[in-house]
Amino acid sequence: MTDPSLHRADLSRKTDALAQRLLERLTSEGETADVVASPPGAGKTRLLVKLCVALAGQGKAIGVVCQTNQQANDVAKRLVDETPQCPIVRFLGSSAPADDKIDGTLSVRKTSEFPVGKKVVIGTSAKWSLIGMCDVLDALLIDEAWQMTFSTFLPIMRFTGRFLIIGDPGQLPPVVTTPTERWATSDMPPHVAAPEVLLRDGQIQLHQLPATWRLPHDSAKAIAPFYDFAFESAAQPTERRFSRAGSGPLDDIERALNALNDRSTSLLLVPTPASGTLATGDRGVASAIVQTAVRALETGAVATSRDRAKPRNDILLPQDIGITTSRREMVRAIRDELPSELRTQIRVDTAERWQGSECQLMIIAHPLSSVRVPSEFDLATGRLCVMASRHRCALIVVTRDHVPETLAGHMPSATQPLGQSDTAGRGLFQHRSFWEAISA
Amino acid sequence: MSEDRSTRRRILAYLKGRPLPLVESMPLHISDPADRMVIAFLRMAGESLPWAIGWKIADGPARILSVPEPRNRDLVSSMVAEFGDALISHLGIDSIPTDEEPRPDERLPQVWIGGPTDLDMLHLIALRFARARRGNDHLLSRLNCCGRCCHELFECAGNPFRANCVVASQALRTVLVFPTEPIRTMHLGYLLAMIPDGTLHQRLSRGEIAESVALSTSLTPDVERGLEPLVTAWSKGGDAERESARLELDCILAKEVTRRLDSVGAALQVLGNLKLPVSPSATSIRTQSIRALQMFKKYNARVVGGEPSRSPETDHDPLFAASHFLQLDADRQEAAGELLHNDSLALSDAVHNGKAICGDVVKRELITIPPRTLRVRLTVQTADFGPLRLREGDWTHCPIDTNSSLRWVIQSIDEIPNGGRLVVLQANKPLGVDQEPLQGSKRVVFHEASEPELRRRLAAMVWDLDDRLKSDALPSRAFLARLRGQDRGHTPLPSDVEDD
Amino acid sequence: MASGSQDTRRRFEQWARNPRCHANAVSAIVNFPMRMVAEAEGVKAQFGQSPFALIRGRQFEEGVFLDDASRLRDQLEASGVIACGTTGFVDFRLQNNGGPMPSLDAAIEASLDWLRDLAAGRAQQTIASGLSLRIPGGVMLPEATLCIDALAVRPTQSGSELVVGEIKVYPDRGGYTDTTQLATSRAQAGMYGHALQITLKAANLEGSLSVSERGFLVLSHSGSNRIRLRHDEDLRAQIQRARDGLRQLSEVAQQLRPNPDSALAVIQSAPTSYCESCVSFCERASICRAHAVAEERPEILGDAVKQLMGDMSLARLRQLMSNNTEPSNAHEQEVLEMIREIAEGYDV
Repeated sequence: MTDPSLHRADLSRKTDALAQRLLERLTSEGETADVVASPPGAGKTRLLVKLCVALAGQGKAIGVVCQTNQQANDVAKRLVDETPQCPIVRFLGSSAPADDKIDGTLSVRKTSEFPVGKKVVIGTSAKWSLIGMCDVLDALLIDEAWQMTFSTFLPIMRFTGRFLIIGDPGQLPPVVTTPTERWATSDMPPHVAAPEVLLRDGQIQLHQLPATWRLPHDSAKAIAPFYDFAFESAAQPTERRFSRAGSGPLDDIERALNALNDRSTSLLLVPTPASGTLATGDRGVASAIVQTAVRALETGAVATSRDRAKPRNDILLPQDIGITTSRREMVRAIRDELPSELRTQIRVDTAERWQGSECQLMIIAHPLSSVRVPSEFDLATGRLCVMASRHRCALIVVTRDHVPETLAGHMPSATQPLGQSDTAGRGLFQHRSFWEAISA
Repeated sequence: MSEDRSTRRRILAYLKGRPLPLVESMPLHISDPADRMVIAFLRMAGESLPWAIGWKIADGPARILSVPEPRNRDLVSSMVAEFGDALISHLGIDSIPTDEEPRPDERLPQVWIGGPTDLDMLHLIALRFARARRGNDHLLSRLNCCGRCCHELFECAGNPFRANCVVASQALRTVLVFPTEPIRTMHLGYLLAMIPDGTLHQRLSRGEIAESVALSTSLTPDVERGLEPLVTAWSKGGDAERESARLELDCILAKEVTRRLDSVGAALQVLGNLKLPVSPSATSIRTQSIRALQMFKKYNARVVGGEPSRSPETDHDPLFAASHFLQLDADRQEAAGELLHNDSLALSDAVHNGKAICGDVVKRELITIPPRTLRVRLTVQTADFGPLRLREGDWTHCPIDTNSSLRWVIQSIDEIPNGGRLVVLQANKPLGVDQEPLQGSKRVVFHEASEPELRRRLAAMVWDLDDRLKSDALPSRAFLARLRGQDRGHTPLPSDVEDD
Repeated sequence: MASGSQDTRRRFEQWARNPRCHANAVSAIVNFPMRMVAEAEGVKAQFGQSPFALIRGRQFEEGVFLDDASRLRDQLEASGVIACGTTGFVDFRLQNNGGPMPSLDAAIEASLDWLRDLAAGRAQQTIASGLSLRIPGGVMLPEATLCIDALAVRPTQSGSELVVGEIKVYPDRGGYTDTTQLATSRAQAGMYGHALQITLKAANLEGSLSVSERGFLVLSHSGSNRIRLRHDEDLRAQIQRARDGLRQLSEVAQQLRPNPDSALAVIQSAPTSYCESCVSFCERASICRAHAVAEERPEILGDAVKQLMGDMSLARLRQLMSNNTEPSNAHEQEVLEMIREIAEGYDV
């Protein structure tokens, strides 16, 4: 096994080299467009911030496009922390609260309020795409780009000829509820994630961030099937550990928690009753999830990280535990099961709301739990990828026990439009691979 | 409505033993009989184009055309051209388009078809004829226009904010939930059989009998087996035999078409008998449909003048694709918003789906937006209906708001420890000189609001990129030209333009 | 009477449409059509083939391969499936389908010979029609044979790659093309791909010949005899599906050794599992549905209701709604609460 610190130093060098290449591209003459595909927790926002600072240092006027206000605020705060030598402008929607100001930034609502000269202007894609006039920028950096449709990208082509487009291709695609049959066979479909469409142009350069810094070693391997590029984990085997000071009665929950002594993922199977269960609000699974969280807290769970500059042993508090599920009704069922004192401390939410967040221990309801005949929605892996990639220390997957049988017996129908990828079929493979990884 | 709630309503309909309403008021615009053209198609198995076409305008007699051999392109083209003339006349396509806003009493010429296979046929006619290039000039121009009209109707049927073309089975499913499997609700006859009074089992039995009678564009195999010798006789027989076969074919096909036309008529009667009040959303849809028809007339005139027509298959150009997509998205948002706004059943669903909040106003403030604008901010305490889809920054609308253009932007959502939420909303427009919005309101509902105006603005901006590209006023000019395939010096002929 | 090859494909797809129904599986394995079971039970067949559809299908396919498959070649070259300027067409279709082969056995033998020649570099054709295979192992009784509609051949570093094509007469409508028909076409192409893979393996030709996981579909244009080729069809999962499906069928077949004379009885006594999709392919669907209606099973309201209610019957739900009885488990409680909440909006 490679020396862990050398391994991480090597990864940092690779990332720095990538940043340097991108900086050169963004400051070169002529039009450029680069896409950076990133596994979860690989430091894409850190890369973006680093590039902004470097570009601002060269006197450039830079735009940053984020997908939500929360993401934009996060980028703005991180930029402030880096103290770049230029104005940091938070470009707000006309209905944003006036008191929603971030220290160290200039809040504006109109392009006429932009400072002249070098600057970094951070706004959402919704804001950027709707502005009428804007002085040409030196570059636009787009974060979480796989959450943005191509139709949202097009209007921002008005502002610059140099683009850096960063995102995670394994996670949830843009939400589109409008029927899209008309454009399913279009060369550049407007409803598809912008990077997917842009990469059809052979001249766009594709780069990859080399590693996840968030996930433990074996967890990175478990989610690898969701990506079509290879990546590593910065944490080496055993550098992240979950342990407990005490123990509970020897039941399935205890066994699932004990399994985390040797690995970062664990499976808790709940028997499938003959009478059936509701996929939407399965109280049996909800109860098992809550009991697992409570047991972890009561038995003094500790998250150990040996891959930091100073190794840490953090006693898990309720706010270090996250719970997620693919269905809203399950969120409700789980919250109802939580003891009242934990309801405001343990975050329970859908996968969509968990995107961009992380915590030490994640407990998830498997998306196929109680689903006997998976649909294309169920087999789409974006949700599962998000759910299975939020943890720094450990992941427990809770599910009804029919899932392996369902996965083995399912015969997927390829109903995708002509010429498109078979997402249901590929999703099935990916689900099977993930299941194999966590149940091994 | 979410699939989950429609599933539950289906169960309830079964327990009640009858179809149940999904709406309190009619969200569809149904034109007066004089403005309605009901159309039905038949096709031969294995073929794409019609074997027979029938239509009925107002209370007039049905006009039914058929060909003895639908594999004969010339015969089919002539039949479709004649149908096209009637369609063009009904829609008023040849009249001069206007830029005036639709009047409140302005009528919408509407097309009604039976089911999804008729809708498919409109598309197939469009695919074949909208961009056909070969043939006698006069016939070709009629066919091209017919193809364009069919394409427009096909697209309108898929747009919830258009009523230019309505599919009868879909209309029934919009207003009623049926106690049966969804797949059976595609059959118009089955739906009609479930409507009259009776026990559940009586309704199910009637439905089973009804669905054995074909109402799609296809004939049953045994009917086709009966027609085969007639088709052969027409193709190969002597003059007398041909004429006899033609007449007999015409008679059989006319009966089949008539049954289909009558089913659509029956569906219209059912919708009328529900006696639902007309929803304001239906009025909005009518207005938008009239505007769309005017725009189509202008487009048609431009095509006659030489502009390329839109492909019935897809938009190959990325700018046009994105612009059309954004426009359709705007329409969908507006239709959904109108429905929520005007129907309490839909609103109740929205509350349970997390797309609306229902609660009491516990605080009202006036907030200053620099430099001097005042806006109303409300804090609403809601019960806990489950996880919210709404989030900070989302726009909402309140049905009881007298100012219909006012929107409320969610500023924050906080959970209350013992259950429920506190949601802070702020008006998106300044305080007016007259009444303060929602003044005196205690119990309020805010539903997810559409932002169609913004989407339409975006659609226009994307469309404008084409002009900017031509005028060289774009920093990413080369990049965009390459995406459009314009760097190759020519745009390759799309593969759906006919070449034979 | 369908040819043996179409029969194999049809039987496999019949099973795949509802693999949970044991009666369906038995019918597919022993090749006792469900239509005959339904007729024995008093139900008139509703599915049948239109004479016009059969003619059209045959004519369309003949047109694809006319003049040494020139139309197909043009489109394969234009879409980059094969290189421009390639030549060579070999036809394994039966005589009653417009080809030269006198029998299925002759076609199978000629096909295998050709594959061997291709592997050895002795054959140069780049398009084949009607390549006929016998699936080794005899999974489906009596035997599984397949005829691949169209095959393109392109060179690789180690030999040749075979690209499977499926010909269908329905029109290409872009994103509006019927998804059920597309799923069926891809499933069939997947079966071809899998059959080719195991044939190559059995004949020790894997070293020189490989099967592409990307195939092509040949569809029609609306109202025209022109062909519309869609290449780059993702078949990987469908090839795997065929592999998994044949294995599952094989497991069912292992437990089954019926006397053909009593096939009807075996099918009639086999458990059924009615679901929404049965309506579109099974002649016996109305009988199964009638049983389900009599027992008030939730599947009569569709798959989503079945998923929601599981094994709980609609009659049981009605009983609970009328307050005559208490729910006997958590699942019943949950379903009851869901329906009561919806019922509040109506005059119950």
